[in-house]
Amino acid sequence: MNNSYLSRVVKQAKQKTILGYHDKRVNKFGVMGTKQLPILTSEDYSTFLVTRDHNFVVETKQIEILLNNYMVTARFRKLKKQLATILILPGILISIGFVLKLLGFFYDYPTLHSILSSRLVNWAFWISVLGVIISWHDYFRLKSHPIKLPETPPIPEKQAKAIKTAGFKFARYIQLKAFYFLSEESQRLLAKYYRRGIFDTLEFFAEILTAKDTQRILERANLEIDVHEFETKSINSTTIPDYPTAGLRCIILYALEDAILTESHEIRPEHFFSAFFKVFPTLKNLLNENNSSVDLIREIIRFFNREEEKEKASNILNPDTIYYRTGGVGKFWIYGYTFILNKFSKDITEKVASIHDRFGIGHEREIEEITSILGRMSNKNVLLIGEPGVGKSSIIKGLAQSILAGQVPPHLKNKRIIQLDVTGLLARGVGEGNLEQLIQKAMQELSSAGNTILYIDEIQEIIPAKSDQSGTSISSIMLPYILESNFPIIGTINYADYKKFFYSNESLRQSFDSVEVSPVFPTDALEILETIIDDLEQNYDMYITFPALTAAVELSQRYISERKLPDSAVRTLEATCSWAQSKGIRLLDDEHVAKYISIQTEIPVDSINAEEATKLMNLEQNIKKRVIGQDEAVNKTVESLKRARTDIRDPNKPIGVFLFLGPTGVGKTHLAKVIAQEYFGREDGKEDIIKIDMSEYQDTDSINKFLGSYERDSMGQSSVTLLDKVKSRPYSVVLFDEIEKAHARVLDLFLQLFDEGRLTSNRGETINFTNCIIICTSNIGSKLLLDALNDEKALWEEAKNRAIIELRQAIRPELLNRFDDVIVFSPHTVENLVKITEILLTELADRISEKGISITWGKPIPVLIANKARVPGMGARPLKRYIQEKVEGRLATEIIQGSLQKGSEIEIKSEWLN
Amino acid sequence: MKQKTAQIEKLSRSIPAFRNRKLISLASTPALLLFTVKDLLYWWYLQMPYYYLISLNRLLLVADDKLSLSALLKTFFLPWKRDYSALGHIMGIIIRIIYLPIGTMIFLSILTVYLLFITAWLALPPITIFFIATTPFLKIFKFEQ
Repeated sequence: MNNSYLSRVVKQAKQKTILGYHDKRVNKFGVMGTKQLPILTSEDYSTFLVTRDHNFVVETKQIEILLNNYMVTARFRKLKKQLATILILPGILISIGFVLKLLGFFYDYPTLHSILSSRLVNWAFWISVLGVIISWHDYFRLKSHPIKLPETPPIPEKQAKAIKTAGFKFARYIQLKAFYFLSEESQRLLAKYYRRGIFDTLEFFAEILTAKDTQRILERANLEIDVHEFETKSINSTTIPDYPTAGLRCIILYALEDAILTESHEIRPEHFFSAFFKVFPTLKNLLNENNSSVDLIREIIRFFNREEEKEKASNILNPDTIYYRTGGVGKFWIYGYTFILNKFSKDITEKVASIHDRFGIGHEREIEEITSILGRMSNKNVLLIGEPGVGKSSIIKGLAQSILAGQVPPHLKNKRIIQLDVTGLLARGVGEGNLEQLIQKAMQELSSAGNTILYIDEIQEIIPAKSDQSGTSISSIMLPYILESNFPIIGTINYADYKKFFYSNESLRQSFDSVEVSPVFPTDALEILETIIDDLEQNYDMYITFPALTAAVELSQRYISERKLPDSAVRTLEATCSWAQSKGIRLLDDEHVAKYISIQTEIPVDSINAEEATKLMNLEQNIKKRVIGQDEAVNKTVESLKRARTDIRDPNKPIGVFLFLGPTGVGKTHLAKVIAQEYFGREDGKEDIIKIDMSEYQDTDSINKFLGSYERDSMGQSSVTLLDKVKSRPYSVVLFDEIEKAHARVLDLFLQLFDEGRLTSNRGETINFTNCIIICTSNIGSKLLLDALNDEKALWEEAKNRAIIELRQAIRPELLNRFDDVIVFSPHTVENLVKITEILLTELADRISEKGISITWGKPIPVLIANKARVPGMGARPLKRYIQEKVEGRLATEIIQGSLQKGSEIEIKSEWLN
Repeated sequence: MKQKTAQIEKLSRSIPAFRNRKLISLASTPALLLFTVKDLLYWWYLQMPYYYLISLNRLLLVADDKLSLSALLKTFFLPWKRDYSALGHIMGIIIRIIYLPIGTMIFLSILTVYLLFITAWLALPPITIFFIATTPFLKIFKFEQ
């Protein structure tokens, strides 16, 4: 559906490599563009790749030697292997014979006994041992010492900028030869398609494409590229031509770049595969046609690499992986008992030790900050504050992992994190009848244990809110221990609850150091989703493609505002899997995720199909059919809607912010409703339009009313504010009626709202308005506009300008400047009123047709109604009232009298309008 | 500069091909045979012993953790389960005195077995060559009585 998902998700990834070239003729060095990579076949040019610390180079001569060597050694190795196998076989027989001889089986066979004792057999045995040595070297050489690319941290922005402006400073890099990092399989394939100095690129690509590893990448990417369809897709020797050896320099370097970017240890065939999409436009087009991208392929390779690493990590004796120290048999001898605490707590450290997934992804800064606070002499309690779903619990697990790996300062080594189960504690306390004593015992255990960090998730659960405080608060019993800081405590809380529970309790607030937890970046969220793929696939018995993951990250970030990344993405993916399972779907892709989000949020986020494209194309005409005489307003709003639906707009701002200016009855609110109906898809439009009368926010105190309050009324209910409405329906038209009547401080809030698309409520929640169309209306300048109504066009333009001047005097320029457009609605002419009457009559006819009655009218009727109902300066409203009174009233009477029944037809007569 | 040299050294340890900093052509048979022998010897006597020592280091780390040897030694005078009574102190020392020698013996056994394995590894090629070479060719068919 939309390959831009991943591009957006990965765009924050830091730069790790820079490709450069050297023009030997003029001795000029430069940076290569990244959009399409060239294959330089002339020896006048050379290419290289720099990372933060290394400069990878490759020369034509080296490639020639390497590939020729490979061809020679491959044949030799095959021979050597066969010879070694032949040598080993008699050794195996002799060994069996020796064992049997030792067991006394050959006493009755003196010849065999003698043969086994002969020098020939001894000699054959040692020859076999030599065979074993050769075979073992052949088999284990690459396993014991695999090719390993050096670590490549991101290039600091300053360094990257300096390269682009001032050129490369080669003295700072360690120079490495790129071909050393080619895997055995890559060497084999390169050598296979390299004949007499010419490399058959097309055949090489075709073989890589059919390889098992590439096929699993394509499967994950939900891509189908068939070798048999190459010709139809214009993949031939013209679009992917043969290259001389010099051209291979670039191919190897580009593959090396992909190996580095995908966190691989060596250049494998799949890196050539992904690199080719950057080189050959035909292949790039092929990806575009399939709505995929190179970024997606790279991400999948990275995922498989991580999976391999995870598998390796399960072997505790593998020296290349981190060993998590568990403490061993003596762990419980050294530290104190926590018998009581164990009854209502769980050991996070122990749990984490058995899992090889990485926790705390994207929260490295927070873990570092916690580590530093926990190392203090006093006041070593930490409070993690963050929106729901930002990954607070994952940070704790990440900290536990750091402790187990020994990657913490000495004072934190051997510590264990115990999570308090507050519900379990309360249940036990109530059961035993003495909660206070139970807590005190548990706290004493913690104090004397010496190696525990107490973790309390949702710490507000132990602090009763002041308004409904009853009984003994757990926090008041724990407070002395918290203040003494004998053992560290880590609590988690969200902003709203922090404000609610901690602001009123100074001593409690002082005893914790706050660490703010921000939502993770989409790239990190994607990595987190990758860690749960296996579990989801097993649980829901389906195959999850990568586009589904990227869609879950991107769409949940944009449309699920109540939770933050990564949790929103995780929940979306899980829920989509569950939904897909119920629909019998076995292969989950981005379309399914979009479909599920569309169903859940009632937002049309799935791809623009032909029907919708037509709808969008016709949107302007459709709205104009219903909104008469306001073409300028319609054009401007429709433009912004098209931008929004095609994802061209700035995602950090509302879809559109408009100020509609004009006298009453000209259709300002009506246009807002029509937009809601036509664009957001609701039939009645009521649900998708949030109307706020700004005359209700005239005094200073109204700012609190606007931002909501956590205070509850006597019935325990809190009032529903604008923010609550937007939170529950983030995809709406928000109509602020008559904004000039609002207090200046309320209007100040609009600055942030229009600019950043968000507002923070008094409860500390941030409400997202980026999926809203914000329409403000104002009657400023109405009189001027009305006065100009019957005058000539030139005067109307002048009146419009004067109205705008009046607006500038009434509304501060910084606010006015933040509107996408100020649209002046022109007062209705009689012709417009006639058209509006026709629309109103058609709507009436539609309503009444539901009762089986059809209603018709002649051409003069709308003209008659428009002329009779028209009240200058009142717009279209009097028409509605007139139709209600004269037409609807008459129809109602006739229905009651029984003269109008199902199947009847009636014509509106001019007499009715007298 | 020192850092760079260290990095190169680290790299050369992890990449077997690094000793061939100058890529030589193996087109002739003597060159190929010489390369094969050199490659085998380099791997057997330099790379693998180093690999085994790293593995031994990891094995000992795991053994130490599982047996809690260093943790118990560091906390030798701490009372049993942090019970700061006289009994706790006595229990702590007694249990450590009993347990630590057993743990150390297991630890040393692992170390010894592994070192023996490395020694055998190093000795295997010369022993093999020795036995092949010292078996007199003409006496091969002479059966022992």
